[in-house]
Amino acid sequence: MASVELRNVWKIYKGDVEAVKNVSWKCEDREFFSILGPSGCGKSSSLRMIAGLEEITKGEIIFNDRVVNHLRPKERNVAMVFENWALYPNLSVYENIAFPLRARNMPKNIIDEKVKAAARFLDLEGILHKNAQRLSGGEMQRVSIGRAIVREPDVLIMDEPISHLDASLRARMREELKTQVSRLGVTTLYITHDQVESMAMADRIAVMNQGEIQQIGTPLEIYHHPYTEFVAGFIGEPPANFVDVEVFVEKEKHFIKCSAFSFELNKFWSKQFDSKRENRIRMGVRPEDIGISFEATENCCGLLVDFVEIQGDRTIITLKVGDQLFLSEVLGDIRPETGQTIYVKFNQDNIHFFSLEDGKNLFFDAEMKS
Amino acid sequence: MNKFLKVLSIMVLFTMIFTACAPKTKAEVVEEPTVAEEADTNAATTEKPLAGQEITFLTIQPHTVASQNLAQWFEEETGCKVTVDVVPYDNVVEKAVLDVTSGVGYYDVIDFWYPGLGTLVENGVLKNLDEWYAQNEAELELDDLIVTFKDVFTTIDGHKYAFPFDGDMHLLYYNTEIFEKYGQTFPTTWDEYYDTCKAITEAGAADGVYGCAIMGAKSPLILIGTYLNRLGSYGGAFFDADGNPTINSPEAVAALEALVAQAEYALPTASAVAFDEALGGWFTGKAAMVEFWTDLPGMTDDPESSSIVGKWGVGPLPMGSGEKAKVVASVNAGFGIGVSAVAPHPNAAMEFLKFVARPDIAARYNTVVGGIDPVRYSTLEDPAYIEFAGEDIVNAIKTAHANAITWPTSAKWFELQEPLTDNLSLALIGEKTPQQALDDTQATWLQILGK
Amino acid sequence: MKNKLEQISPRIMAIPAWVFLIFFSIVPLIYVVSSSLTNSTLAQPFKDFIWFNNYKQAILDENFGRSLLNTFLFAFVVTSLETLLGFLLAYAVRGIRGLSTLLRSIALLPMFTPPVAVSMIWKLIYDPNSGLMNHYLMQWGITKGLIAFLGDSKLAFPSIMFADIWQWTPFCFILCYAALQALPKAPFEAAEVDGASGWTVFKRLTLPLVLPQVIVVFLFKLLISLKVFDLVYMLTFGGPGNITQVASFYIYRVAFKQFNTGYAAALSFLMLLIITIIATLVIKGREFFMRRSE
Repeated sequence: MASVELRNVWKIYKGDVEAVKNVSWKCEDREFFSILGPSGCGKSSSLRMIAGLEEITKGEIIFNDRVVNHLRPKERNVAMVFENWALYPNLSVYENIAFPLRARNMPKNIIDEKVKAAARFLDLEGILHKNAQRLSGGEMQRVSIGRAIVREPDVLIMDEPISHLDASLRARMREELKTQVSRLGVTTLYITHDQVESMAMADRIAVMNQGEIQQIGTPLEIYHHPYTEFVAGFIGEPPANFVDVEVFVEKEKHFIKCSAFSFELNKFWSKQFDSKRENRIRMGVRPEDIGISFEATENCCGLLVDFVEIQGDRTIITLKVGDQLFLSEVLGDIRPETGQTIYVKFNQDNIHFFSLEDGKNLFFDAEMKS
Repeated sequence: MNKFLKVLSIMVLFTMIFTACAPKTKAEVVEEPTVAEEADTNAATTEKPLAGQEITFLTIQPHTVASQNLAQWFEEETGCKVTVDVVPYDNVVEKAVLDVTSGVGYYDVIDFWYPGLGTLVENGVLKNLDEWYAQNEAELELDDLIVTFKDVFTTIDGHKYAFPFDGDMHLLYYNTEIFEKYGQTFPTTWDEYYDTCKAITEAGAADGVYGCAIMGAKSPLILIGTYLNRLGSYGGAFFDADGNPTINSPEAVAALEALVAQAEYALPTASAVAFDEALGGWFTGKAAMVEFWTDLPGMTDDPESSSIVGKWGVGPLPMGSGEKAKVVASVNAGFGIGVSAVAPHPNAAMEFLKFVARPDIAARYNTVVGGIDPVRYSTLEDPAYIEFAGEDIVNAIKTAHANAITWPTSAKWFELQEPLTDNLSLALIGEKTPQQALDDTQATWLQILGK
Repeated sequence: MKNKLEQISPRIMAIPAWVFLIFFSIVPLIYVVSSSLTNSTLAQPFKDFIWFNNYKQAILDENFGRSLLNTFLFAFVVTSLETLLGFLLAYAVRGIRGLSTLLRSIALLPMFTPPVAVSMIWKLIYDPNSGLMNHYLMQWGITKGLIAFLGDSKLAFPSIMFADIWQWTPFCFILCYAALQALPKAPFEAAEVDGASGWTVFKRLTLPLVLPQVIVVFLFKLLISLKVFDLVYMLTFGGPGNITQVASFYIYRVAFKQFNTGYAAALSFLMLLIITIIATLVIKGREFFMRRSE
């Protein structure tokens, strides 16, 4: 078992392409650590450097306080579950799982023992003789895991292992994967672009974008207290809404104002804006934090309904906010009409304000404290 | 099953169609103006008699220069353009037969290797010249033709199909410098030849000098020629007087045994040596002796190709041993000239034939470098020729003709050549004993002839 | 609702292909088979219908049998060596990025050279007196005296084989290279992570995955070698003796030196059957291998 740490790691490809920029994080022993981000954010490059398939341009990768930069993949004792699983197409399930053991010249009887154990663990006993090319998607995934765990690695790396299964299968696989991995209790690094997966499975998540770390934290931390605008927008479904707003003070009261609405900030926020003078900022609010009412109430904003999406158990109402659209999510079956004005109140416990210059959450520390 | 039957019936149908039709397509004969009325032309027009016409002349590679000369002279005299098409000597008969039987009929005049005469006639390649001979007897001075070639190169079953062109014969040449160095004298028997060869090779191989160059490459013209030089001199022959094969007679076997023994000391390796390799060895002074044609002196004394200018001598081929032994001169190679039976321009072609056959033209082409050897007695007496070729050669040729032996020209000969060449080659490399090789040849020949 | 024209225009488009196929494959085939059942010469095709006499003669013909053996020996030896060499070369350079087009073109030059030119070049190289072969062999002290490669009964065939290997290894190389490049990359990365040694990866992964294609390369080249003619014609003319006489050469001699086209047609057809059988066997072998590895 091992912890994995990246310290100021860079990956620069030929032609000065900076895929990974000064990334640092630490995954503790036995932790399920997810690296989340859109395509091209550097997560695969990070992973391949950890596995030893790519050279580390700058920085250090450390397993259990041991720098492993110079070690070949074989020597690092990592096991990898590839996207598309990378099974050995000409070998049977048994042989696929046995391969890493054969590569270490283990005696035949021990190999047989371990392979059968892994097969039992993953419910593969029935198909041990089948050729790898003839398996279903789910079977392939399990074989791939089997091959990874059979040699009891220090670190298990998974590179988008279920990203191209169809939706229903994916949901089931998420569950299975998490169960199996927890049973094993092995340090797991899980790469994905699907935030639902990360949120559901990980102990902690590192969100990456364009080669840089945006935020590292538990799923709930990230959800409720995004460090950057990117994180706020990337996590959550339907995605959060953003709008440029102005802060102004009138008679010692703080107001938020934009072209479509304005409202008064509560005590907490007033205090924050007192200590930090900001004028133009970007406000972010999640759909479920937009309260809807058909009648005007105190401190609410009237907005036009643009579209209504009925989902049975909840309704997604698209509202016109200046030239933008906001999505709001309401439980139950509410049926406003298009063009109707309804009255909106933002849940100020869960709104965030981001700098227009660097997208950072202006009051992150304050949020975390409260 | 249905499909199979369909295919089968189509094939049978086609076979029957082909067999029934069996067309022997003749190429279209292009009508062109006859040459008449030009003999006594008024001086009014200086237009040449065949101006604006063209013929194609199929000839062999060694005759390239000579053919181009003839083409040029003919055009100068008649205005007719001659396109010379050159092929390797091995292929000329084949090419001519193909030309006619495929229906293409591209060639007008053909310069062919004389043993192929029968094959050419059988396949209808050559035009019958009986009438032409009769009409032009005086102008062609037929009695001037050397008797060795007069009939052999021209006649099948009493009918004439060609005119003699190149009268090749083999003589034995030796390098005087090498002979002096190793104290050898000109051999008069094949046994002496063997000793001379062996002595020189044993002494000189370290310096890359060999007693002789023997042409044993697997081509009928080359290998059978080399063999015939010995076969005849031992008193053997391909056939007896009644036409039965005698290729495994004791004399024939002795001749082959001699050849195989000599090849051991010849320029390596005899079985891969043809014209070019033999000449290569001769001109660079690596081979002390070589059996070659009468144009060798001209080339040997040309400093551009030879480094042994003036260091050579010549004599007749050695004699065999045994009671039937005699001196012979084999007519190896040797070429006749004929007109294609499907010539596209028959009249112009006949004029060209007559041109080449004329004694005055013969005198011209024999006295320029071009590798054409005399077919007329008058050439041998012509001072110009004597000066050109050298007196030694001319005398050697005259002597040779007294003992000339020619190759068969029957239609079957080309088929018979193949097994003989194969077996000679196998004997030469030691895969068969000479007796075995010739016995096998005899058996195959009987089979072919018996058919 | 297709109108008449739309319906038949695909068939019309296919006509050129049909014409080509008929004139260059079907008619010649029928002609050869028909000819083989008759007594034909170059000048007089289809003289008499003699049923299967030509075939009877072919079976009894020692020369033909010998030439077939020579052909098989030649074909299998050179094809095996060329496939092996081509594969090894391709494997050796498989990792080099940007195997530049220039380098590949140079490697392929022997293939682009006209066969007759190749034969001529080798004839000159093998020339006993002035050829490169003897020159370098003696210079490097490997041999003492001049060797006549093409005239030596033991060296003639190997010499021809050597020339063929020079000419065709690039062919095998380029095809094996393509096959290796087409292999999926992911399993090999998995193998690296799994800690397999180079040899293990080759034995258990690369070779089984690429073998079906390599067999195809072998088959292609085999079919080409079974028809070898140029080299024999130019270098040795079947000699010395009959040592290098291959089947196609023998057929050439029967047709154009003995002018017996009917017999030559029968020999050709027999060769066609034999080659088809060999090809079928190789294909079946490959299928068997592929099924076994599933």
